Amino acid sequence: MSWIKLTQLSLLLEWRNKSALFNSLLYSIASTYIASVLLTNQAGVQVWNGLLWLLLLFNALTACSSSFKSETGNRYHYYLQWIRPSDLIVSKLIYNGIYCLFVSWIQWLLLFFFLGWPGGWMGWHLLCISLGAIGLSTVLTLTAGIAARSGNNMSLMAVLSFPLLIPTALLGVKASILIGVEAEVESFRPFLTGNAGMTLLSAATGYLLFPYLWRD
Amino acid sequence: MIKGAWWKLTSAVLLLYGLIAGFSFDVPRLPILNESIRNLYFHVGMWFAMMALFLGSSIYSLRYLRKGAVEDDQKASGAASVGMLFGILGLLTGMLWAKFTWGAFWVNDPKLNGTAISLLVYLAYFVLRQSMDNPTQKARISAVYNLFAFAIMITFIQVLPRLTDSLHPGNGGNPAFSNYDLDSTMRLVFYPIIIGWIGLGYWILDLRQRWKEINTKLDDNE
Repeated sequence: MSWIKLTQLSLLLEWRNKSALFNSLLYSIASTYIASVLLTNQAGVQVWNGLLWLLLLFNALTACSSSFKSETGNRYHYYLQWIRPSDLIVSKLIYNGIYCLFVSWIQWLLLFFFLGWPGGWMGWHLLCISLGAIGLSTVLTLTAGIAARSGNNMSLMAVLSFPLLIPTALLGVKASILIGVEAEVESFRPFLTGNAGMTLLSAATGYLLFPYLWRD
Repeated sequence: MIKGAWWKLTSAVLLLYGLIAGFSFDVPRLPILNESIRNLYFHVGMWFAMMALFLGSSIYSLRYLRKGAVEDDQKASGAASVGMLFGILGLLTGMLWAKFTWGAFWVNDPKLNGTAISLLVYLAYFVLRQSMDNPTQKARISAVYNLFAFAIMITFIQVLPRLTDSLHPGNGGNPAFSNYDLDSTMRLVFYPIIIGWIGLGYWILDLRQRWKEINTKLDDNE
């Protein structure tokens, strides 16, 4: 199976089952609602963005930690025989990228709905969040693979990925605060390109290293 | 590991020279910094040693993935733990320096964030190693994580301080120490002691590795 087929398959399975999707959706709604109750609509640009990235970080973590959940036991041996590891990682990267992008938009809309948007330039802001969500998903895909190969341990997944998520989250939150206060484009553009670069780097290293991980 | 004792002797001599000269040679008289400028030889030197050891650790991990020798895995984890030791020492000397010049032990600064990330990454690496029992599985999976984390960490440490303002010298428009040290007396101590610290790090790693090998042989004989 090529990586296109594999991506289609995982998207189709997700669409038929929808449990993970509803899980993420409910998580977003509940966490955003709690945040809006606790903050009582007093969030400025700084708090708003910090909150968004914090929620996004945990949402992406829960979404991606189940990436390799179905590839265990017989399915793992079947995949090991018939699917090249490079195809598998590319399909997982794309699938997680799409999924996290979708989740980040939902999260963004919900925060917008519950807390209002105190800043400006929503188009740039959405671009920044989308770049960040894809960046988080690339790092999380490989760490999910590592956690899965070392015995599907959820707390291990958080321990492994949080230090590696700091760069993306830090660049993202700095850029989105600058966008929120309508700073000059030159001031936040390096953060966006920096984030895109970090994403490419982690995707490339993940692609190169995954074949070593995915064997017995 | 490098054969012979010449490099151990060299690093010992350089360190000894650095310790004596570092406390006795003239340093530039600067406001705020004052005599604390001598910390440059220790704080920066330890960070250089840490980075050299982390680089060594990832090279051993890469070699393990390509060849699969158990020694390479032992050396990778050994280099990471000695690197952590130097990292913690560098952090402590840096915090002391920050307290006297910036007024606080810890500030929110890109350079310090890089520090926090690199220490957290290697702590996670040790947690990952402890979570597995099968030695080959442990070696392979932790080698993959080591390389992945090292690539992200190095890029972040190199990229972020150039994007934002930093209190730390050499970043965000702040002059590095080469600008203060006009008559180059500090270089006479700084460069030798860096080589000395790196040599000391690899010496500790060498001893650790030999101790591990003896232990394996003793276990085999029982």
